Amino acid sequence: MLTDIAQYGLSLRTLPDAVGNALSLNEAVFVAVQTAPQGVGPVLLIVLLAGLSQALGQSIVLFANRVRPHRFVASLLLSASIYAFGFLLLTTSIWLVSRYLFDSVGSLRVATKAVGLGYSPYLFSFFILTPYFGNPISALLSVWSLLAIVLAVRISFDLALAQALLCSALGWLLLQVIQRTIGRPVVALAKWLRRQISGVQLITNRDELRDAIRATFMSNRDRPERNSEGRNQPETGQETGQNDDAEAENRAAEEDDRAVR
Amino acid sequence: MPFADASVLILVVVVGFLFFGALAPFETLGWWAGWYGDDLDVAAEVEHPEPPTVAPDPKPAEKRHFIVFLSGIHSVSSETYSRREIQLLEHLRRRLPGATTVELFPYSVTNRALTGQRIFARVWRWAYRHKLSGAGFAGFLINFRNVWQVAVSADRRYGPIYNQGSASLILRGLKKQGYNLGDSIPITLIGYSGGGQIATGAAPYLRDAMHAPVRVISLGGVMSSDPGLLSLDKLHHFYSQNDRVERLGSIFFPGRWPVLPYSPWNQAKKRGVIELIDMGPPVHSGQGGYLDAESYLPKPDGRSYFELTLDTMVACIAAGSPHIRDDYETGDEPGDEPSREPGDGEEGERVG
Repeated sequence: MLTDIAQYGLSLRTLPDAVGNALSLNEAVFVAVQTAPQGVGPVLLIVLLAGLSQALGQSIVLFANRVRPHRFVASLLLSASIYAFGFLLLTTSIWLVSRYLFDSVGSLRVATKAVGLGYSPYLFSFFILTPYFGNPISALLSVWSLLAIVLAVRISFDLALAQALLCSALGWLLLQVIQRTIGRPVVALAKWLRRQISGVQLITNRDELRDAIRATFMSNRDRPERNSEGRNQPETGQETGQNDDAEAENRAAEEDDRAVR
Repeated sequence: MPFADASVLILVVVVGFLFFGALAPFETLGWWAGWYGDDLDVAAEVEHPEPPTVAPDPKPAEKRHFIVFLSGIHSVSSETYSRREIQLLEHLRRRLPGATTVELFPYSVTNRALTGQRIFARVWRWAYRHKLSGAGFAGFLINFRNVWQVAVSADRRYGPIYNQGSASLILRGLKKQGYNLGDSIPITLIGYSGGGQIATGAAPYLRDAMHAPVRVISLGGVMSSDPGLLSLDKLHHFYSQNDRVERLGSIFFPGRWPVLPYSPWNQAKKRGVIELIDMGPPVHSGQGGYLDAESYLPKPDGRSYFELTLDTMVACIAAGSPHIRDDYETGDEPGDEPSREPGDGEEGERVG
């Protein structure tokens, strides 16, 4: 089957086999994609599915912020898209480092195919949802994927193992620098999109999220008594994240204005 | 080839196990996000927000204490308690006429029985029928499903949501039984097995919302080192050297390991919040279990394991509720053992 990949390229037919080999860290598959005539599309499919799986694995944030079902689905799709975009940026960073630091001649296209296959372990990110085992699974997938990516970089750019490791690390570092400098508008745009699509002011910090959840319960203890007209005063706690869409979007827009500034 | 087949089988079992687990939090998360409607509205449960500023008047005899029982993981609804659990509740009511009991199904924050209005209700009805007729696999399926809900309660990510849902469920159950919020009538949550974790998780929310003393009795509870332990009034944890299920909690949750002295569990033990009560020979459940009325302690004690558990439970409840104690002393039936406070060493070796 690996010869099929080398001869006909990555396709939906050969993709499961390629993913299986990538998961077992078989470097032959990374060699095979070098000569494959095509395959960026199927690799992007892997990355998108991995992104979707990861978004689902981390969907506690969306649930905890009380995102509505249709917005929940849209948020997952957006997260997967942002994830794929991040993958392309990371691959480009690694390619730049390999080219200018290690004088590699490997093409960006080949690197995209190989590094994309290295994302295969993240297809299992859905299992991060599992109670008790979530954090160990997350750590395991990160290490597994790191090994696959380093292997992909080694093969794609014909580097020694230590060089591949350094190249991957520097590529990641470069991406972080870009995100915090010239990439800030893009990061802000991604945040803005997330808030627009989720329809709420997303709290993503774990401690803040825990506090907000507790506050929801506690604030109900202090909810106002009915007024003289027999109506409840406006409430605050229980409706956190459950306000109507327009109000939430206004809040999100204000928040994003601050973030951009 | 047999080795390869075995590897595939193990892989399938592990993936199936994790897949089942990954689906476990969705009911709770969906409830929290309001996807099922607001039928379990937290706000609707708390109607009297202000804490009483003066000591409450003496309560009528019939409302001096509320006992909430959270069943073990074998249950599929609040109507399907085991014979021994039903017997325990009957005896508690008889021994403590001043107490009102509330029975709940603690493994669903939406308070839906597994056999109720669910997509897989038919499966659970089948499992429950077969379990009653002695099919081990059917019982395993139910236990397996409910164990994951215990894990959801113990998980740091989902726990705050699940436990709040449980607290809300308990609030609703109490109100149905005539509990007036703001009266500060003491509450005891009895959690059997996995119910111990659910009770411990929900107790701090209940206490905060109701301004009432809340105690937890964990009967062989499989519990994590929940941060809420530090804000509990008291946790009486019944255990036994022969209870292998209870021991799982101290193995699988690192916060309960003695090498982590600053974990909530170890801190709560240090502060005296947790009282560990060694019950002696009983096992976790079934024949020879905590609630077995046909297994007996050696002479001269000679009580059944059931009586031992009941006596110890009653003493713990009485210790936390001065009003109930009088009822207990006068409510004894002929032949009952005299009450005993859970004082130093009286219920057995205390290692906490």
